[in-house]
Amino acid sequence: MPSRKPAHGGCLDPRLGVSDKVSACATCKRKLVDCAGHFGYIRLALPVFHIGFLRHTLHLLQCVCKTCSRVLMPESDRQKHLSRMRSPKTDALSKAALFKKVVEKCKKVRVCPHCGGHNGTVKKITGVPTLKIVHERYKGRNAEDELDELIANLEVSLKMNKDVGTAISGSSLPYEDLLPTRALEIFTHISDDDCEVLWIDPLIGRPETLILQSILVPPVPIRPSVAMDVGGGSNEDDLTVKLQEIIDVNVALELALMKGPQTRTIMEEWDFLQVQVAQYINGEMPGLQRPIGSKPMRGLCQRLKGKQGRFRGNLSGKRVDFSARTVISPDPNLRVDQVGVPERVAKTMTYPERVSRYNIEKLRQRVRNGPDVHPGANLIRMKDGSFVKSLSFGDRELVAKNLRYGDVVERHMEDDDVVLFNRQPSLHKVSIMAHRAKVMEWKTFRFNTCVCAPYNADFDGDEMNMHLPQTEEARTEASLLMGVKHNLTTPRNGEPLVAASQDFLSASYMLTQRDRFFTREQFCQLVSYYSDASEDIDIPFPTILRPVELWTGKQVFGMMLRPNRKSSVLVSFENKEKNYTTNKYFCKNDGWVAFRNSELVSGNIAKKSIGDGSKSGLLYILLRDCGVHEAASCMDRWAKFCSRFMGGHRGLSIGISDVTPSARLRDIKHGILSEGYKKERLITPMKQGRLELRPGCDLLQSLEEILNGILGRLRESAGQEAMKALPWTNTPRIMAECGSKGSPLNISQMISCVGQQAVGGMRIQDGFVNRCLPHFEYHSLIPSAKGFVANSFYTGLTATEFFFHAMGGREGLVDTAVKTAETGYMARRLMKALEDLSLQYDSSVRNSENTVVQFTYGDDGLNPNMMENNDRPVDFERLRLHISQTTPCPTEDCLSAAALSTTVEKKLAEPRFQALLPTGRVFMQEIRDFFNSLAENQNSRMTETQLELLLTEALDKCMLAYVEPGEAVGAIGAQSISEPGTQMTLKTFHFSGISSMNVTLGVPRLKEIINAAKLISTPIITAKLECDNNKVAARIVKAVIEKTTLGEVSKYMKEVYAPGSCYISVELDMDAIEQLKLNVDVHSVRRSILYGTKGIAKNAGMQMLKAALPNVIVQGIPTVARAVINESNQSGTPTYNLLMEGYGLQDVMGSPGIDGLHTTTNHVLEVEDVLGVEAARTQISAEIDNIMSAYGIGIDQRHLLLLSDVMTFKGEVLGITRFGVSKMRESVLMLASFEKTTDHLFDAAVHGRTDTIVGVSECIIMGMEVPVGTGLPALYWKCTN
Amino acid sequence: MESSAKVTLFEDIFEITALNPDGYKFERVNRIQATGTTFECELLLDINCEIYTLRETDKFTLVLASTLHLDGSPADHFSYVPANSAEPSLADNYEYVMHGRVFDMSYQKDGTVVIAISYGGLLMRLTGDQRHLSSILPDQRLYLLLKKD
Repeated sequence: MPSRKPAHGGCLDPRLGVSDKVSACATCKRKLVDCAGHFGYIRLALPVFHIGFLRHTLHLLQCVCKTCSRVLMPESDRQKHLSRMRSPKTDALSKAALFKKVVEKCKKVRVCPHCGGHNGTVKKITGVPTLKIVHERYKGRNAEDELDELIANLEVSLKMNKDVGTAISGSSLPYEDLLPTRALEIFTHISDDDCEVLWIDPLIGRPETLILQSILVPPVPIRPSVAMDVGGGSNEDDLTVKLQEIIDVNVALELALMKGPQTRTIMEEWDFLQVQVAQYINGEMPGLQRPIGSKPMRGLCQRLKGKQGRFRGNLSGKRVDFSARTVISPDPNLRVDQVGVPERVAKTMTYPERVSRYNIEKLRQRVRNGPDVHPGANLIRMKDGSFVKSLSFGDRELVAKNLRYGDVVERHMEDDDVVLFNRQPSLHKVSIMAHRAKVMEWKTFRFNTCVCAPYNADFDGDEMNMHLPQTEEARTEASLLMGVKHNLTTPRNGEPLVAASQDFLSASYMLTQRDRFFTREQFCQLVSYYSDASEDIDIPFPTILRPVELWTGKQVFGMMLRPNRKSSVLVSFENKEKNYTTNKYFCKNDGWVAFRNSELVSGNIAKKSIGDGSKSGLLYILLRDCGVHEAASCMDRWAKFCSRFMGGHRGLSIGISDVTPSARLRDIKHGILSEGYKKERLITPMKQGRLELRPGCDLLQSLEEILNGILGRLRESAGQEAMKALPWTNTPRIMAECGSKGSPLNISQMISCVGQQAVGGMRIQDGFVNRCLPHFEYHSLIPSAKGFVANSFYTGLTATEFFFHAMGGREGLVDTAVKTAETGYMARRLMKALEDLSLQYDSSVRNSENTVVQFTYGDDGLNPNMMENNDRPVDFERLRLHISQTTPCPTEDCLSAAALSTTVEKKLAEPRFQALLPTGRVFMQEIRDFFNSLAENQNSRMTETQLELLLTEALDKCMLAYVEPGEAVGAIGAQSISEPGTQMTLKTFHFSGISSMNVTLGVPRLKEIINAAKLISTPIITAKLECDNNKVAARIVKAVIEKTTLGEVSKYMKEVYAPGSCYISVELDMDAIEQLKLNVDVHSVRRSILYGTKGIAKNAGMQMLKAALPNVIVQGIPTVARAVINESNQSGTPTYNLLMEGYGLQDVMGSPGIDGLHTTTNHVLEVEDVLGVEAARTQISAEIDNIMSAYGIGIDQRHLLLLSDVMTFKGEVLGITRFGVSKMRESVLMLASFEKTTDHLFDAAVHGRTDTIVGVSECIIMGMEVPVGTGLPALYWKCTN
Repeated sequence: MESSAKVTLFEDIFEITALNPDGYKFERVNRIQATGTTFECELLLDINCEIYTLRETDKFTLVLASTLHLDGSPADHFSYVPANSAEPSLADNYEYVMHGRVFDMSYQKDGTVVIAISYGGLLMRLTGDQRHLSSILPDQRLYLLLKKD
């Protein structure tokens, strides 16, 4: 059996370190845990190119004279570039541009200005199995002398060797082979001064270091060998294998050099070594072909690259201790800020608590309990740091007794410990929040279902992660910044996100129905449900005293808001609920919710009041007026109450009987369907005849569209009938009405009719020859053959219907799958571009390089999270109502209109308001406006005390609404924009009313904008007409702009051959020209033809001319493919504007009849070209806003403004792509952790770049504190003793 | 305040003109529409029809009172004390009694006033001349007493 001992001097030499746990390193005599290994090197017999620096080697060789190694530039030019390169003002970006210019200039130089030597282009030879650079020295106009000289020099060789002759005088010119040795020679002779011109720091790395003369052998521990079964040898890492091969080839080459055999053998060996070294560095070897089918080797580059690579996999994202993961389940008995932790987790996750006189008794008990009993401890670290004591062994009693102040006890997690709780994908900041632990039995993490929304969690098997912060600072910071209570609203737009959902909504809705009455016993039982017997409850006066005492459900709900008279929760507001109709309080559905001092006066409570996403509901008002703690405890009460109410009093079940249509409903549905089918049958024959075309559609498209409309309405009306017919007690109906689950659409699909199925936004397309499925006749256009499902889920689908439904369903699935990948990448790019933007103390937004991106965040410095319903910090009308209810001041006199405005002015002049200026100007104007309108209307009372109170509260709210310095506004903005990406289904939308003009929306469009794409799928120019109420005028303008070709306006074109002459005869169709209101006559056509056939030679054939003629543009802008007149009917009179498909904003703006001031395009780069970068900035945020609003996603303007500012702050529109980002930021580490990792690293190595480590990515990589948020403040003066 | 003086805030006999004018939704609550015979007030009132039935064209007396104490001493509207049947009260003379609060009062140009009262979610709207309804104050808590004639 072989000894299996690493060879001395081999690549597993124990002097390089060891990779197994038993043996010791030969250099430092330590085991693997303590020894990270030592580097070695292999001296190469001949130098080789470094594949990572190959591009740069080429550039350098191009730039210097191959004879004298000077830069190929005249001295004056060289000096100019040198001083520019040396100037401290030049940043990396301009240095790169400068270097590019140098390369450009040197490429053109043929004769060296210093030595007069001839220089040609330097090229890399592709297609050979090695790296080879050649110099085309003998190519070019003035190279003949050189060539002659070469031939003269080779005279002797020519005689001896015939091959030399054929090589020189062969079909191709001879070239100079720039072998690594030759390149090395040239590089060594480059002067230090010249290095600087070529953006190389001679002190850090001279150009000759680009050529490898020896290679570094990394320590063994980073390329461990894996031992096989006993005696089976070992499996080596790719690097070891490659190093082994390099050693072999190197030795062979060395031997060959010593023996001095044929040059060819040496060259072959050398090439082979070159390839091996290249593979070792980059296993994929760009530019070298490798045998097909073999998988690329994992070289050094592959170790760094990609998601699993060193940068993204280990440096930017590290594995942590004190974390747990398990399945989640709901528990309404927990508070919203709590999380149930299994005891087993609590026993493993510990917190190091320092012993003090306040906790010594507690910790003694923990120590006595030891590691196996729950509130115990696992370890003790002594005060002097001498040793760590495990509590699994030894006399714990004794240890407890000897516990001293200053010792640290690693105690088990206990109730109310701050833990971080997280669910992937972590799309926004509320995907990880700080909860309070509650140690419980069983094995799952549990939390209140109100907190499902921010995590996007459900309980179908989801797992979540938990971390236990290990220091007091971390705990404090986590609980204050990441605590659930401090994150009840989404930073996207400030709407509540942690809110009641599903069952809680149904229960609240059913409880607050007008006909819910409870006897005293029932009432008392209900009100005791929500408090766990920990609250004082004042029973209110019964609603009905006679004939029996009865309380109502609304009273129960009111009690949950304000259980007793000591409670300070007083809310008064009014709001429309989902089912509101008319008549305010007296709405027939009881849909007008009104509160007076926390008493529910009217209305049923449902989604709009206590659900998420509403800024006018009860929850939001509690949050803003009574504080987060009251809002959270109300949610706790609802959760407890609703689940017990549901469990014990009013269940909610659904069965087949709930979706069984009545006989009457069946008849109605049948009627509706047959009526619709009849209509559809009327239209079909019209296909042949006169069917009015929709603007910009052809016949079939118009037909499709009309049918689509009719069929869509069929399902709608059938669904409405179904909803009408259902009894109020029907559970699906209850759920749909209160917004807890399902929609009228879902109900109508179950009961009456599933409706039209669509794939790609159209009815189902043909899958067979001229028909969808072989079940139908050819060319059948009847609804059922095109995917209309007339059955309901209750009646069951026919085979073909089922198939169509499955087609539609699949599209949805595919769409989501594709979208998650796309939005994920977009989120990553956005985050990389915006991660280090933070608000500074001077209220400007800057990136880590201290470049100003915005002078005032969002133009007003306000936090999107703190905005009230009107997108401003204070909703004055609501504040007034609140104050008038809580502080009625009945004895005080009401202020008159005049007194009101003078008092307000007086108060505004006070220093507390004056201090807000200049940013507070808008706010103060708002106050004035509000009081002016109040004085005008005269319908609400306002006393002096109330006025003072109102202004004070408004001021407080305003002060709180400013973004705090350090806030990572960039990261929040990036998340706010990318998080809703997954919600954007459906790709295209019809352009306001004009169906033929589709605009791309959703994720694809967002991608276009963020990438700053040059080519977008649907460029549309929207123009206002100077005369916008006249259709004829609009037609004329349209005709001028729309591209019209000669072929479209001519009756015929024919070739005429006559003796002695031949010509093409064209007759213009004057009728068509008249009809289209074209400004075309024979003369203009002549001009157009002469202009349009310029490319075609005069003596070209008739046929060629004839083929070109129809495409001659006689009128219009060539880039505008189509123009459509859009009619909109606001305020009674029809107005027209023009929509154009295509590019050419400038031309359109200049066209007669167009109001250039109100003409825009959705193409951002074109806006930049025509109107400038500021216009582009506005356009970017407007376009994103347009996308988001199409899907009903509310994003605060400030986030969009920040994004558009980031894309434009460099003075040009930069996309959020690798090219854009590398122009925005200098940090090499950050760019390397983004994309093209190795390219950036090699580049940085060549230019000797330094990284200041100030950005987020860099700091994470280096394990430093990030200078954002709480990491922003720093001590600038450190006192020494 | 002059509470003792104003015990009865409003009293009239009404005749029901319609039951559930907007349609029927709630099982145990009927919305009745009635017209006052003396002051010609318009009334809209939700009542629990499970325990007290009123039909169309029925006539009934409606009283709004600030207290149920016969001596006119002000009532405590906030803390609930289980009714003591031994003590005589104003309610003894009536068949149906509710307790609630005024939550909205709007004065119209033509001299009428619309008063909205909520009895724990059972709503009442009384529209009438300001002169007859002047003793009802905004946000006041009061009793509604009904008996059939």
